[in-house]
Amino acid sequence: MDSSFSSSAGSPLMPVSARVSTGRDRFPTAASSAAGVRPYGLRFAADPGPTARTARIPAWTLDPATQIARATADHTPLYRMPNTGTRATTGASPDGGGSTGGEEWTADFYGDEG
Amino acid sequence: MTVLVLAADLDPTVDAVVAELNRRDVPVLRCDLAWFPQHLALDARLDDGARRWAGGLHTEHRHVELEGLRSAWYRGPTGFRLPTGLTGPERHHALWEAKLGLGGVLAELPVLWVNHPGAEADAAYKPVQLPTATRSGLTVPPTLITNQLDAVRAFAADHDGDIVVKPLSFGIITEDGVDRPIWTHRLTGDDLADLSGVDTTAHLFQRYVGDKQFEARVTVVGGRLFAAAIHAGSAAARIDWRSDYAALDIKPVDVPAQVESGIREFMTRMELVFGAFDFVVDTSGAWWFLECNSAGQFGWIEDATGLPITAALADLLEKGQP
Repeated sequence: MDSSFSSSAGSPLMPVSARVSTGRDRFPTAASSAAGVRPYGLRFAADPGPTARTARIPAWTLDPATQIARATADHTPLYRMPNTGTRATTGASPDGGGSTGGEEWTADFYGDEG
Repeated sequence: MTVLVLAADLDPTVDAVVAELNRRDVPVLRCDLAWFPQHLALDARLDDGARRWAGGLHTEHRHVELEGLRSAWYRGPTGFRLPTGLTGPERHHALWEAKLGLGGVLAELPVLWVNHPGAEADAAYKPVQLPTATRSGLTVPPTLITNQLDAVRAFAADHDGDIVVKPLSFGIITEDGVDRPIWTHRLTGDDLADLSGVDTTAHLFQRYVGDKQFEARVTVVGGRLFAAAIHAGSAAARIDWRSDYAALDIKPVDVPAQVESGIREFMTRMELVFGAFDFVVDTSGAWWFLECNSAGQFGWIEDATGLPITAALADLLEKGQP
């Protein structure tokens, strides 16, 4: 195993209730495998299109006083900004915020974020 | 009494709820598991004869006693960030120590969890959800989980070839640095003619519910239900509305009593306090259960309909009981 990658899988049949998120697997390089080996369901993975929301989110910090994210430039709460908050959007995370991923994102299965 | 929020730093949905709790002067400790162990500290003691952990959680700016927590919102926190310089085996060891140590102390806290990490993990399994839904009185489309090509062919034949494939786990794959969503896909004849790769791993196939009136998203917060009808305005959205948010028309909708009863039963069986249910409502009025996302997003529903889901969640966390 590459030392830069660590999996939280452990015993695949461990009791699921023992899980607490340990983060998202990262793969140093990843490209499609040969046809016939690549899982069938991944044939239908879509191109992301021009909707990568994180690219449109301005610089921000988590305000220690209020514990909400604010734009660095003018301290506007991110969730009140139409292009970064919970307004209608496209992509996998309809409420905005790249790091939370989409609804199908299940933290408990991911490995080391670091 | 403090509300513990375990979430990623960048999560506008969390921001909205925390802002509401701030407005109510409810103390909050928001942190991410990624802060542990470098920016989040734990000391937990089980003293002689004690029935629960005592001690505290500490961040750079806040401290909370474990006994001073009233509720905890487990909202997609990201993973532990360990110090650099560890070898692979050391990281593996340290991760599991963190997971079972911090995770174990938190999971044992006798507070209202929204949702408990164990229940959240259990609910991630669609093969657990689907029969639980039927046992709860909900209607589930015929489903096949297999790595056998012949089984897919037989299943397709049983349903006139009109089936979909959808992921059991993540709706995104990151390849070459690009996040690619994996929507529900309605199979074509060509797709069925070449099923290579089915045998690589488990796959979920389901009968396509084609005679849709609309889809419904029912967000459950404690004992309250917030239901919205999602009318798709594009071909892609009619198969998977997540693929084209711009084409959606979203309005509040009433939930039939029998479906509401099933939802409540499902929540009880899965030990969930929060859940976002997806249904297809066909032209006969039947509500077909697709899944319950125990960490579903809701800000977009609230924005579109005015349903007060943020306030309901704040109510729940503030009260500390369902």
